[in-house]
Amino acid sequence: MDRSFAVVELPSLSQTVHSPTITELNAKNNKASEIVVAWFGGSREGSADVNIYLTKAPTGQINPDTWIQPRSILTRALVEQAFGQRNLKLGNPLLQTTPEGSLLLFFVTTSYGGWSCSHINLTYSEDHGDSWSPPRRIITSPFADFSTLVRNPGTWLKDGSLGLPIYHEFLNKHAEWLRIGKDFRVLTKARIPSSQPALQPSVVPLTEDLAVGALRDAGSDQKIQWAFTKDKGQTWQRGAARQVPNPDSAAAMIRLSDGSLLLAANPTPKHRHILKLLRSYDRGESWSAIRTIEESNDPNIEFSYPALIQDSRGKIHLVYSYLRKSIRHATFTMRWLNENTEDNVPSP
Amino acid sequence: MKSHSTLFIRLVTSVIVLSLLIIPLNGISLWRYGYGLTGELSPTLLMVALFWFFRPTSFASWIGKEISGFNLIILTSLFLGIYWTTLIERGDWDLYSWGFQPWEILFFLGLFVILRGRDYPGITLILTIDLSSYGLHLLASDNLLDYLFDPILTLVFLVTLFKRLALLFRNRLRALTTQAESGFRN
Repeated sequence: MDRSFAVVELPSLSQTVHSPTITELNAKNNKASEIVVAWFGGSREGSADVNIYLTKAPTGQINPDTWIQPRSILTRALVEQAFGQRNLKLGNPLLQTTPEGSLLLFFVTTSYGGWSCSHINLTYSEDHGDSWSPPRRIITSPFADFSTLVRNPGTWLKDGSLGLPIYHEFLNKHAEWLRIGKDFRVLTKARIPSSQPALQPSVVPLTEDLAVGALRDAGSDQKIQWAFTKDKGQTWQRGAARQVPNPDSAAAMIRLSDGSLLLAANPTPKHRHILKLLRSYDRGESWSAIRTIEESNDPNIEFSYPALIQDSRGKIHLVYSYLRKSIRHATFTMRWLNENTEDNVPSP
Repeated sequence: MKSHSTLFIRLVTSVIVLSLLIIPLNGISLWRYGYGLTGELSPTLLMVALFWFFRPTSFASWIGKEISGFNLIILTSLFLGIYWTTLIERGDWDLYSWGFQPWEILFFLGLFVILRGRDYPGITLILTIDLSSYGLHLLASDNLLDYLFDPILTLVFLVTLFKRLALLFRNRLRALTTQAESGFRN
């Protein structure tokens, strides 16, 4: 395991934390650019005391001391009050910045049942996350808006709308692509097909029209599933599963400044005890494991739910759930990624 | 006189039901539990409920004449068998994706109102309310299909369909019995 990169354990206010999300806010209204991280935490996943927490640090000066004390920005009671309906669980926060510099926070809630009964909701902040709008529902399903979730960030399109990768879990698992207008109204929805049941699409645009998506395998293939669009997300086609093992766990993919793709995933067929960075120079056709971020001999140990960004200064940020006890934030440079890579394709 | 007493019973029932719904359970009123399960209901269902409550005769006329048994079967199976099945099944497309920018649906609904609206005043009225609500973005949903129908409305269709089939079956049975009885006499 390579430890020649900076890792910070973000301060945690709860017993269990999971599903971190990260974004960069550009300088606005006398506020410097900041890296913002959010996650959900409580006594256990899905419990009544789960809140969504947020912390941030100035982009260029990240060290253990510059992260502000995390604060709860969403509670179950607040969501219940806002929607006037029962709310059972709170989870999967997703931070997304707008081109104008606002901060969006998508998150999922359930009124009944497990995560497969989730709805997507949205709240936003105009002041770098200091205050938040009342949450609103994004209705994407006619089953009483049943079973739609979000995990990975979206892409801003030329017409000002946001293309957001989402997924459906009830009875069958499949990914979808939602286009949301500037007023947060849903404009279109398209199915992202895959040869296996798949979840949590991570979509990266390659050209103005072409985008590729890496999907968590929820079937029997145990490999990263793949899909692509050639018409800005209007229609999607399934691609062959990549030769990257996936134990039904979340993966995050970004396009780096040199055009290559970077994937953070658990490239093992069964467990989440290894977290690696993989890189592709051919638009996702082939992948090489380049760095090991976390590794344990105990398969019950879990390093999971990675989220990636490359900030305005070129630095790459990775956040992930460490044993579901803390959120870790790792930073590295392009140079570090390019040097002395492991250069081995993970064996299926 | 009879209609007044029916209206009174319905009013009392509604007041009791509404009172029960505001009873808190674990700090949340019961209707919020229901709302959490159903989400927003379509204007169609609300219109049907209003018809049923205030104008039972018009409701019976609308549901009886404008939606024939055949149309009811089509509507119920469309919603149950195709609409929600395509939504959850594996595949590349679901009908709901048709609903956010539904110029095709809007075109056909408009055409229906122009060509057949006079023959179907109840449906035309409901469609007018649905499309106006959609135009005014009155629901949280942006999808036209959510303004036209919902799972509860499908259940209403299903119950109505079963009632009709039961009635049809009973009438057939009665006719057969009468025929058999007349046969014995001959």
